[in-house]
This record gives sequence, structure tokens and C-alpha cells, in this order.
Amino acid sequence: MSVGTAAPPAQAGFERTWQGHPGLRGWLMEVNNQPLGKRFMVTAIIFFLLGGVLALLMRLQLAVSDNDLLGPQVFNQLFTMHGSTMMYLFAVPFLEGLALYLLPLQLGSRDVAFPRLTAFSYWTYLFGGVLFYASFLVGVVPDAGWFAYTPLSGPRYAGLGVDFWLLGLSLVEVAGITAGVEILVTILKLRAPGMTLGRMPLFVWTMLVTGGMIIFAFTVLLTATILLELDRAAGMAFFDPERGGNSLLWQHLFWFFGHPEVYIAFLPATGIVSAVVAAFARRPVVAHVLVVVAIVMTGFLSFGLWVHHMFATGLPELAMHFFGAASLMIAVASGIQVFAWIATLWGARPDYRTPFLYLLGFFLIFVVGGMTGVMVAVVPFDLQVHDTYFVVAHFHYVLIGGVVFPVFAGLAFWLPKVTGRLLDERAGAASFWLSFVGFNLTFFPMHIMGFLGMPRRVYTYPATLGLDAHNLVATAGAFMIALGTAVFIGAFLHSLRRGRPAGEDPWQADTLEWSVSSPPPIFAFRRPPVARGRHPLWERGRPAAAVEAEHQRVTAALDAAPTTWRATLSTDPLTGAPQGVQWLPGPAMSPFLVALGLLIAAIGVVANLYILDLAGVVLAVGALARWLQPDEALLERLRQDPAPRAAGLPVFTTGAASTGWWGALCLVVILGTMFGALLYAYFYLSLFSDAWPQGGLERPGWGLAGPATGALLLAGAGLWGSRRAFHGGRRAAFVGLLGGSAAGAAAAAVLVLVELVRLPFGPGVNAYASAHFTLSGLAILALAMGTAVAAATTHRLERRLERRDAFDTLQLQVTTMLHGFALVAALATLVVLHTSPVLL
Amino acid sequence: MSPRAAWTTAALTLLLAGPAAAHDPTAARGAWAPDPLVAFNLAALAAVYALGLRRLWARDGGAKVVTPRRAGAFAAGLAVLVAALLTPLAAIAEELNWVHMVQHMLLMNVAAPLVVLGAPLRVTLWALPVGARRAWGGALGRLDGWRPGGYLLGQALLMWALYGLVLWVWHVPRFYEAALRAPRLHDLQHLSFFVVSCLFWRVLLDPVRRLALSRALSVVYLFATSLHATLLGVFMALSPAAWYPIYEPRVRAWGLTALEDQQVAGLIMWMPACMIYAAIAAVLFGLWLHEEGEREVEPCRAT
Repeated sequence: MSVGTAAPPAQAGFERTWQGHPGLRGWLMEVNNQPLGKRFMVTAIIFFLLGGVLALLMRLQLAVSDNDLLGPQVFNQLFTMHGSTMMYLFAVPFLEGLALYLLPLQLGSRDVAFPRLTAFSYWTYLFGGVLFYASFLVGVVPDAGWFAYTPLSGPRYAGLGVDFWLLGLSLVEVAGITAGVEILVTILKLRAPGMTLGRMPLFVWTMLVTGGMIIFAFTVLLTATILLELDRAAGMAFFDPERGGNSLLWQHLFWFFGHPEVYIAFLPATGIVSAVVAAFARRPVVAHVLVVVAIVMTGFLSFGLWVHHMFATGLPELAMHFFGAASLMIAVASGIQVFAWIATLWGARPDYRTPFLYLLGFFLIFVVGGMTGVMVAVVPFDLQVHDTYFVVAHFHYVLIGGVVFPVFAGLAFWLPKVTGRLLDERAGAASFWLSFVGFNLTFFPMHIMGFLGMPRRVYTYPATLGLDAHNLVATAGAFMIALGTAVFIGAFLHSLRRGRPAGEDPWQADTLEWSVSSPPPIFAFRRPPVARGRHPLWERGRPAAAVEAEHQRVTAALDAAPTTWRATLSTDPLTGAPQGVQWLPGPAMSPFLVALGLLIAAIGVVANLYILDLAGVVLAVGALARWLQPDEALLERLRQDPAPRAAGLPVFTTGAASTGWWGALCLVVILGTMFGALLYAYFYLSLFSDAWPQGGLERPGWGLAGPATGALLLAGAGLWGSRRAFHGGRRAAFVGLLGGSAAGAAAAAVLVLVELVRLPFGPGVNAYASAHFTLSGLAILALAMGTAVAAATTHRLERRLERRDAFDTLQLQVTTMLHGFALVAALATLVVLHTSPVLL
Repeated sequence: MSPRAAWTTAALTLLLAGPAAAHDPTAARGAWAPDPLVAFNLAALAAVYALGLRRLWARDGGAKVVTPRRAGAFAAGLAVLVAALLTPLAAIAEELNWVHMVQHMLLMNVAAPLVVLGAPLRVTLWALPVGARRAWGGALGRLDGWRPGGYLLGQALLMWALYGLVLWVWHVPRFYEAALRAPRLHDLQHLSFFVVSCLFWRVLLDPVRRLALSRALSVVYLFATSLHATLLGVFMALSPAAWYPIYEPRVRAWGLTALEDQQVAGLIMWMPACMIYAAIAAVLFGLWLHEEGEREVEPCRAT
């Protein structure tokens, strides 16, 4: 395990390739994971502070009985914005930012897999959050809760505030999904040579599972928010019972996201805990394999249990027993982790420094939250306390104990790496004790308040309830937490100027980020590290395996002759064997422009200015096309570069060896999940309808759908054939087949569109019509994507066919995936839309 | 399992087929009334497997190709098939939706993986005379060599989709009720469930010709399965109307309504079934990690 320290003069150019552009323009064009990860975290902390201020205002309102400081309307707005901020704008984005900053350092990579996507993710997150809070400026603050249950959030009862909520949230979801893809592909593809999946640190495992969960859960939420916005802005009827819609459909879609969401926030927190526990116990976390299985199973099981948030919605009585039992199951997976940490710390002599103090706070608080969680998993008990402060106490113990305390432990642990300075220990301890005592003062009395009948989400309570003292204590505690947070931030700012230098490895920890200087260079590792085991820094003295010599040869060659472009090692997703030298993009404006286009389009929807929508979409699509356009001069330069050949590695790889293939796969999974969520809505609505189609509407005929199906099948055959023509080098056949496939998809899209236009009813007639139009519309969009991709590929590869190399093969593979997916999804949609009314 | 035990199983199966002549659907409640055709087929399967196993184990190293544990898994799978198809469970499944669901779960998620673990194709090959064995082996080889054939059999995604398709399509009310009316169609339903499930589990568990899917991916494969199986279970459990009115007169004897019966069935598909997917995924994944970790030596902290 070695990391280059002194740079020979020939390598001065290397550092220059990694420098960003100066000035505001450079700031907008930044794509590197370290500055963007820091921006993510700082932005998330600012939203955390804003959410905290909202909480303090609520506690002021509740400090005494019959208070009229805020009034019911403002109180509703505050608890909506507090919950939404903490769940959507703080917890997940912060952890994603931490992962984007930390993962390359822990994995031994120089950057993440898709740097421009990181930038796009950050900008959409920032814009979404700002749009959220812009509602305060306009004076129409969302007030339907962080869950926005219909029909309260529907067009009839909620004002413009919910539109701000839905569109701001949509942008934040897009940011979350893209960051999830980034995390997933980085972990699978950019690990240090020798870092097999089994040797990954536990924090990386938690982020791998979280990345996968985000892709499914956030996509379902994105679909749900789009459907609700369609109800509100386009007069559709998904959630309107009077037109055959179903309010509970929203709850199902929301909690299909909402339950995994709890674990999306909690799993990375356990990853932080594992890292801090190992460093402070000075030994590896006990039962590594079991802990990894528990992490993976937590993700697996969390998708089957969403209904346990809906005990009180009149589900079949029998379902309660099953869910009560199944909800207890997930406690097993969490229990494995908690016991593993306890066993690791058993007999260890940890230093009681700030990260460890926050860790102990996590243990105590989270275990209490877990216990009350087991209590609310008991159905009769849940029905008793469901809308009281007992539940408020429970989920604050889980979320603050399970997420915020680990986050602060992680901040205290990794900030010295980020800033290069140590936090002041006395200030750190003071902030911990203030937060810990304040937390328990605030939330412990809430258990009792719940038992004594104080309902949640109500702006005040009568003095006769006898809860004045409890509430006053809770309010005082809330201000103590605020003070603790302020002390922490003060200590952080102080450390920036006066903190003691941290050195490379202040905690003598085990993972690769501690092998580079603090703060790390922008390229993280000049010479890519090689992983010898699960704990690279604790295994320096261990004899090297034979395979390591080969890895060292590769990294040494890369170190000796660095490329004049940003490059990192791409490795095998399972074994971590080097597979290629991956080109990474430098500063670019297009991610910012795409995000800006989305923001403009969102503002257009809120303001009912459809010209803005058009402008936003044009900007976004134009910038995206520029982003995706291959740069032929650059490609030629990469082909000629001798440096990768010296390391014995290709610059271009294909299939599962390339990052592009994985990115396309993620996109296919995301789009497939969207189709799945819409199909779920379609069938769910049909389940609660006496007739399907509803309202005596005619069944859709095959007059146009039949030819469309034929066109799709022909397009599929053309796509299949074009691959053989490509590999056989037959230009005319290739152009005819792939171009024809694009034309077939376009023809099918047009036929479906014509069918929609010719229907005698509009999408707003009833829920069936809404679902039919929306599914068809999504199929048309998918086909448009497939057509565009296939046409662009035909155009480019036609010229490259005689000189085709791995990059061109990869382009065809990615095209096949995206275009093929569009064809299959459209075909399935047509079949479902036209057969299900007959079969059901 | 020794060949003798296999023969005993087969004989027992045949014995169970005896009372089949007295099959009377109206008096089925709790009675032993095995379907003779099903019994014969299972017995034949057991016999062929046992014969193949005896021939295989008679050769040097045969017990290494198919270990006794694998043969035991096959026997257990066969026992589950017998329990699901020939015991009173099968008769009750005609009357109660949720018992029917349990029966299907046994076929698809318990019997199928166990049978696949026993390498049935490889073993039954040995039951054939040498000439036929060569011919069959050659045919299998040609199927593998034939590009579309090898491609289709090797596609994890295809097997996954096939399993999902069979699961969903058979639950369409008109198909499901048709199967309940016509015994041979019902047999076809069970056969398609079982065979497709064997193909499905083969992607993960086949000991001899392991397909392309790595064990690390088994979690993803089963997760994607449990997602859609969960949805089908959710629909069944939450539906305000009974999907299969044919059960309405039958379930009364059990003190349930058809809707309650269906809710239990849906919940069984939703939770216990998905727990099976999760458990198998956890075991495969844990085994894989364990093998990965065998090579790791936990370090002491360098000071």
C-alpha cells in the first residue's frame, strides 16, 4: 500500500489537468466530487438550520396552552415545512453529499463515475430547495404535511403552496435519483485494484444498498408527485373519488417510498457508526459478513412493509396481524448491527472524544426509539397512540437518534479530513452534552403527553389538559438543542482558523481516505492505491499476495506517466481487477444549464405560464444534447495517448466493464420503475371500480394500436439485426436496420398519439381516462427517447463503421439498451391498456 | 439418499395413488384423494431419478458430481411435491383460496428450488440406456450450442420475466376459475408453475450447469421478484371484491367469506412468500460473502 508523495517535475502537468476554472464561471462549471460534495453538505446543513428554526417557532407556539402566537394556519405551514425540510432537504442530500465526497477517497478513486452528473444533481437539489422556500416569499406556504395526503393536498382543498411543494420536491427527487446512480456506479466500477466486493468498508456497503434503494423509492415518489401535480394542474382524476379516483392510492405510492426512505436515511448513518466504532475500538467491526447481510436485507425487506404506516386506514383486519409480525422482522436486521457494534466495543478502551460521544448518544437514543418502534408495531397499541405525541416522540428518537447524532459523529470524525484542522475537544463535548440533554428534555416528555391524549399536528391545547409543564420543558429542551448546534458550528468555524493541524490520520483509522493529506488533493490520489484487505491502513505490514504485484505494476505505470486528461482506474465490479483507464470530464456548463431549464419549467407550472415551460424544456433538452454529444477530437486524442497502453489497459471498455453501460442500465431501471408505478396506479384504480373502463367509456380498440404494435415488433427486429450488421461491418444494412428501427419507433409513437387525440373523451373525465392517457403519454415519451438515441447513433456510427472500436461498440450497446427498453415498455403498455379492460 | 430410499419413496407414492379411484370432489374435505395421473408422474420421476442416481454413484467419483446432500434435497423436494399435490392439502385447496395459495407457494418456492438443487437433468440422464443417454446428452449439447437456444436458456432476465408472467397470468380471474373447473387444466397450471419455477431457480441454484448469474446478483434477482410478487399480493389482499366467485359456495363450510379467504391468500403471497425470497437471498449472499472472506485475515491494529 503506497501513495505517491513527491512529484517529479514531469508530473506538474498532472495537477493542472485537475484544476477547475477560476471565478464565478468556474464555480458554475465545477464538476469535481470534492467541492460539490462540500457544497451538498453545506447546503444541507443550511436547510437543517432553517428546519430547526421552524421547529423552534412551533415549540414557542406550544410552550403554553391556548397560545395564539402563530395561529393554526401558520402552524400547519410550519410543521409541513419542518418535516419536508428535514426529510427531503437535509437527511438524504446530506448523506449523499457525504458519500459523494467520501466514496472516491474510501474506494481509492480520483473522482466519482459521472462528474457532470454530480454537478447536475447538486444544482437540481439547490434549485428544488430554493423553490420550496420561495413559497415563503410569495406567501403561499405548503400546509398539507410532509406526506401531503390527498384529498387535503388535492386541487379542491389546497392552494398554490402545495404546487411549490410538489415541484420543489420533484427537483429534489431528480437530484436524489441522479446522486443514487452516481453512488451506485462509482462503488461498482471505481474501486481500488484488489478491493473485491467482500473487502469494501461497511460505509461503502451501506451506500451501495442505499443507492439501489434510492433508485426504486425516489422514482416511485417522483411518479406520485407528478400524478398529483397532473391532478392539480391538468384536471386529472387519479386521487379524486368523485371521478373514480382513489385517495388511498396516494398513501400507497407515498409510503412505498416513505418506508424505505427511513432506511435510506438510516443505513448510511449505520455506515458512519461502523466506521467510527471500528476506529475508536481499534479493531474491525465484529461479524463483518453478518453485518453486511443485515444491511442488504434491511434494504430488501423495507420495500414490502410500507403498509405498516397505514394501520389506521381501514385495511382488512387480517392484514394487521401479518404486518405486526413482519414489522418486527426488520428489527432483527437492525438488531444484528447494534449487537455487532456492542461486541466490537466490548473491552475496548475508546477515547471519549467528540465523535465517540455523539456515537454513545446515538446508541442510547436510537435504542429507545427502536423500543417504541416495537410498541407501535403492535396494532392495537398503534391505533391508540397513532395521532398523538407518542408517535412524534417515537420518530424523533429514531430520526434524530438514528440519523442526526450519527451525522454529527461523522462530521466530527471526517471534518479534520475535509478541513485539515481538528475540532476543539472542549467545545465538541459541550455541544454534545447540550444536544443530548436538550434532546431528551424535548422529546421524552412527549411520550407521556401522547399517553395523556395530546394530539399531534394541532396548533394548541387547552389548559385543562394539564400538559403545560410538559410542554414548557419540551420547549426549553428545544432551545438547548439549538444552543448545542450553535456551539458545534462555532467550534467548526473556530477550527477553520485556529484548529490544530489534523495530519493524515488523526484517529489511526483503517480506510483509504486516511492515507492522503488533509485536506486531500483535488485528485485524491496521484498514484491509485491498492487494497490488500478490508482494512488497508491496518494491513500495511501484511505480506502481499501474488496478484498484488500485478496491481502495483498498473498503478506504478499510471503514476510514472500520468495522462494529460482527467483519468481514474476502472475496475471489475466483483473482483476489483483493473479493467481500463477511465476518462473523466473536466469543467462543464451543461449540467448547470439542464438544471436551470428544469427550474424554469417548474416555475412555469407553478405560475401557470406555459411559455416558461416551453423555454425551460428547450433549454434543458438543448443543454442535455450538448452534454451527450461525443467530442470526436477528444476521442481521437484518447485513442492516441500512449499512457494507458503503458499500464496495459484500454481507454475504452464495453459492456459491464464500462461505466456508461452501468449508467444506461440505471436509467432503464429508473424508467422501468416509473412504468411499474404507473401500472400499479392503473390496476389499483381498476380494483376499486365496478366497471373498467369506468363510466361506460368505450374499450380502446386495436384500430391504431394494432399497427403500432406491428411497428414496435418490426423496430425490435431491426434493432436486433443492426447489431449483427454493425459487427459484420455492413454499412448499408446497419443504416437501414437501425435507422428503420428508429423510424418504426417514431411511427408507433405517432400512432399512439393519434389514437389518444381521436378518443371521444379527455384525460379528466375519470380516473380510468387519466391513467390511460398518462400511461400512453409515458410510452410516447419513452419512444421519443428511443427514436432520438437510435437516430443519433445511426448517424454517428455510419461514419465510424469501417474504423469501429470499443467506444463505438459501447455506444451501440447503450443504444440497444435504451431503445430496446423503450420498445419493450411501449409494447407492454399497449398490450396492458388494450387487453386488461377485456380480461378484468 | 440411497437408491433404496428413493425406491421406497417411489413405492410409497404409488401406494398413495391407490385410493384415487374413489375420488369424489363433493366429499373431498380432508380426505385422501390423490389424482392418479399426478401420482403416477411423481412416482415415475422418483423412479427415474433413483435409477440414475444408482448408476451415477456406481461410477468412480459419481458421488462427487451429485453429493448425497444434493440427492437429499431432491428427495425433500419430491416429498414437498407429494405433500402439496397428493395429500388432503390438495383437496382442501379446491375449496379454500388461501390453502390453494399455500399449495402454489410450496410448488414454486419450496419444491422447485429443492428439486433444482438435486441436479435432476444430470441425474435422470444416467437412468437412460447408454445409447439414449448419448442421444439426449447430444441433444442437450446441441441445444446449448444452438445460439438462440443457449441464449434463451442462459438469460436470467428471461427466466425472471417468465416466472413473473406465469404468476400474474394464472391469477387473471377467468384463467384461474377455468383451472378450478377443469382438473386437467388445473394439472397444467401446477405443471407450468413448477416447471417455470425450476427454470427460475436454476438461474441461482443449479449445481451443475451454473448460469451466468453471479451469486452476488442473486439478491437483485430475488428482490426484483419479490417486488412484483408483493404487488400481486397487495392487490389480492386489498381488493374490495372477491376475484374468484367460484369459491363463494365452497368457503362457507369453513366459516369464511370468499373475500376474507382471498385476503389471507393475498397476505400469504405478500409476506411469507417474500420472506422465502428474502431468506434464500440472504443465505446465498451470506455464503458468497463468507467464501470471499475465507481469504481475509482479520488484522490487528498496526500501531
